[in-house]
Amino acid sequence: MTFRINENETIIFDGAMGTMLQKRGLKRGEIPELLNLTSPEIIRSIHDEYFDAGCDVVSANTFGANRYKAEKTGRSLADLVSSAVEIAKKAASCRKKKYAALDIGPCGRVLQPTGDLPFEEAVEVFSEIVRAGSKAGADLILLETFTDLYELKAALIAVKENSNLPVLATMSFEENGTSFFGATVESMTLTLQALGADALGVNCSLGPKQLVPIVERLLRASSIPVMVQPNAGLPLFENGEARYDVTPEEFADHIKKFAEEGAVIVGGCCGTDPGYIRLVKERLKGVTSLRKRPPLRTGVCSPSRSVFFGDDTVIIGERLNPTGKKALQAALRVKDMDHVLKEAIRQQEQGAHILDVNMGLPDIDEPEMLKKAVIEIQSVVDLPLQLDSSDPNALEKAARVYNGKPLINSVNGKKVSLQKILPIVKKYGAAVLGLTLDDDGIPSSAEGRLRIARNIMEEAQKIGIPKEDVLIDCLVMTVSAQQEQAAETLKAVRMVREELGLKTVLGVSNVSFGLPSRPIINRTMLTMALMQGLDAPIMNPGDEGMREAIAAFRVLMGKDPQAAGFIAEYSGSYEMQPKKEVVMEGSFDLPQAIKHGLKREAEKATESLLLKMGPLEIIENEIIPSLDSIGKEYESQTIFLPQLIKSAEAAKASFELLRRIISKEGSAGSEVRAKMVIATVQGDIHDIGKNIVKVIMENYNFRMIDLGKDVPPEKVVEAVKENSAEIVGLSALMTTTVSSMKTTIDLLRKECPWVKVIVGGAVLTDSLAEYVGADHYAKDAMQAVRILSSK
Amino acid sequence: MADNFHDPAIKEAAILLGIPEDKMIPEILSRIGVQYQRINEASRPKSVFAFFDIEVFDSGILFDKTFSIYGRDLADLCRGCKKAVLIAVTIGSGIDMLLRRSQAEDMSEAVILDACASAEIERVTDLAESEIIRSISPEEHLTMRFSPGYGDVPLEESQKIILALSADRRIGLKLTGTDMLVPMKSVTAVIGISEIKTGRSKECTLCSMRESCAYKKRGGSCDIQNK
Repeated sequence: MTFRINENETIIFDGAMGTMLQKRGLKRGEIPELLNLTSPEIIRSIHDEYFDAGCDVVSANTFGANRYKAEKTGRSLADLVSSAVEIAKKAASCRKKKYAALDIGPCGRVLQPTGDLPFEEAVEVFSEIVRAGSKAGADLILLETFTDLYELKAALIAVKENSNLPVLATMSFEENGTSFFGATVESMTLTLQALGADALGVNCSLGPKQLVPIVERLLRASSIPVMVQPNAGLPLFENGEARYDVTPEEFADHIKKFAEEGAVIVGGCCGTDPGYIRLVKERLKGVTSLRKRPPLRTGVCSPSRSVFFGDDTVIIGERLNPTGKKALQAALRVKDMDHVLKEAIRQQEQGAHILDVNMGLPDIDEPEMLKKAVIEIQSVVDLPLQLDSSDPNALEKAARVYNGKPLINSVNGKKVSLQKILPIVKKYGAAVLGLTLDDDGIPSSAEGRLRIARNIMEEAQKIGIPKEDVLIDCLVMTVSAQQEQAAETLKAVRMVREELGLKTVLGVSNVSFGLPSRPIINRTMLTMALMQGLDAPIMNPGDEGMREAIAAFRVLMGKDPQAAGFIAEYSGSYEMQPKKEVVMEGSFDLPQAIKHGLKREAEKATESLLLKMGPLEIIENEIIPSLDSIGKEYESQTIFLPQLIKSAEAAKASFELLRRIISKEGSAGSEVRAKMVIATVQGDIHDIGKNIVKVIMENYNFRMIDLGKDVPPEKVVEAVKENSAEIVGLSALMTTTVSSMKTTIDLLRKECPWVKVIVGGAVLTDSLAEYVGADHYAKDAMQAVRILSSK
Repeated sequence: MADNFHDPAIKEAAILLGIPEDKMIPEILSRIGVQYQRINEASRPKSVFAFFDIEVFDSGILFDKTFSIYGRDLADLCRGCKKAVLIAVTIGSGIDMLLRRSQAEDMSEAVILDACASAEIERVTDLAESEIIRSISPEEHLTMRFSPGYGDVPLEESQKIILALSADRRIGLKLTGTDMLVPMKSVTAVIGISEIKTGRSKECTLCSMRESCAYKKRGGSCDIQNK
């Protein structure tokens, strides 16, 4: 008999395993999964009790079984898992219509970037469990108690890649409806539905009473079956032992309500036992759900932010794209992500709801760069991302590591595109943007574009992508070349919306190429498109005119109640001049600007100095002496770290301006002192100290190659060779990672004997520096500058 | 001097930045205030603690006859104690993202933000400790708070504290493969409960941060009485 979820019949899971084991004498700190091998009869008797109490599914005793835990037991993971599944399976198979679930909990480690577990390692960790469990005959898989949506995604991918079993996935939430890692109920729902879970829900965390609002949110959000496994109330701790405050009667009453409201799968978590499950079984007799599943909505998300299309205009920020942006191109060529991160943050501040990310440059490894960009952007900005590439390989890599549900940009009506892109969309649980062009090019009529849109929609549906996850871009043409095309695009937007019911996206600003005063055309085109029902313009969120057009549109269409948003943003703005940067009284010369940490002023002062002297002279006579005197003030404690960094950044602004001129003039001056690779060593995730050193060194004109944190020794060596660096700076905060520093230096001595190594970090001392084999130890950034400048 | 310098948390952040009271200027003080506000908005403080019967040996402490935490320095501290508290505290993973974001925005503000976050976890841990003091009898006294990494207690002992308190499930506290706490601004510690009033002052000789300590540089210590 195969396990199936039938919407009209509530499925009852068992209650807690841990609670039952503690009653049978399991001590704190003992590993419950070992009992599968040492005392299988205990585990079996618990399953039997739960089945006798009336549950339909028991969870095998595998919740914490993973490679890290197995290492501590001296047993193989496969043995721990398969013995557990076999016990549960035996208990189930001597009864009718009863099932055994492979139970998988979080692996105990934290994924990068917050922790140190790489995404692919997490997928492997879960894959091992899935393979052992399905081989041993599990009927279904339960992923439960996750608090990190990213880890749950890794687990769900592992399930899909290694089995065909039904999979249910639940997370644990706090009372405010977010998990410890900040995932919301809505983001979990969007992500798990798209990744192909058979049911989703909430378990553990709280008692049934506290879960009421969370279950309500789940039932409103989820278009797939909902599962609820509460604790027996909130724990009261007495001498370290947990006791729970909800009786079986109260518990069963709550579960009955959840079932009536529409939860299809119920059970218990911590503190519940067969007594609770027996009452649940009794109360659920004759209960039927009145719930009608809510329709799917078009939406994408990061763990903490969901964006839905249709209710209001969604702004997709277009600035993370190197096309036509020299500074971004240069930064990407040296794998410098600072520029990308700053631009991402800026667009969020300007009001973007989603960020388009395109890393396409002819001479870089686009798949790697897009993947890296996605990981890094998601580590600082919580907006959902639109992954933008014409390379399917880049899209696949980025969609795999994306945390949440991304929007893939793009597929089109060409056969090869449909074949390559749609399976990626399906597998990684994304939404996709379809461009209305095919092997014959872009149809000139709206009808032609509608036909392609319909084809994309149908092809997506064929492989199981719901139409709600397909968005259409009807393609804006340049009006100076094809004037009649603007009207066709607008018409197509309306037709796609009305005839196919799909949401639409449009990159608006192409329309004005070749015309003067482009903003006038752009914002008018935008307003016209919005009137046709455009859901999401791709645009520069910093473009005032476009923002004004959207703000006015929202007022006029009743999407900005009482025009509150408009009034807040624009009251008085036409009386005032456009906002200006606050300018300090008087003007500053370069040393003053650097001393006070004023970037704009430093640039201005540099520009006026350039009328009198050359760039190299400015560096030598103005910048370096200023920095030296600031360094001295810092060392004598007249100024402190925040001021030192601000001055350094002002000096950097000046340096950058001069460097641009030097490279233009092609003058030969050696403007960079030395190249230095800097990294926080493997195993160490604290990197603020390293980042401070980087900023300060950069502004003493060292060329810094920053490898980030938790960097393996081989990567350091690779970067030194690739950049012919002369210096390596390594940082470690904790005693446990000093050994990792030593390993890195040992490898450097072997592979790159020319390189000088300087180390720093909270636990380091002169003697430790000597022990790890470094050339120098610096207690702070200024000392590093002194040492390296004098060498 | 601006008023908020009397706020102990702000003062703590200033100390962590290495700025002595007499050299503080209003501009920096107000920047600390702004960054502390961001920490307050993102902070989700949570703590768990539990009492245990202990036996003290030369090389460490046995808790409830089931698990040990090793370290001679810890054993010295708890000599004569029959009970101890294990405690785990965090201000949440939202702070980790905020710290990363701030470093991408502006390093100068980021160092201030980081100091504020450190001051905040210290403040929250002190609060949890006051709660512990309230829940013991007047005849009982707490030793200093001793965290893995101090003295000869290995960092990996944090794992046992997390396990004993179910701190992973209850407050979302975990470890990296190299035993660093995640979220970053978190604390695990052992506190002995003694029937004799012991010196509660934190001893620098035991501290893993003694070489780089901001308090020590000024000739002080992080102990509450000396702040």
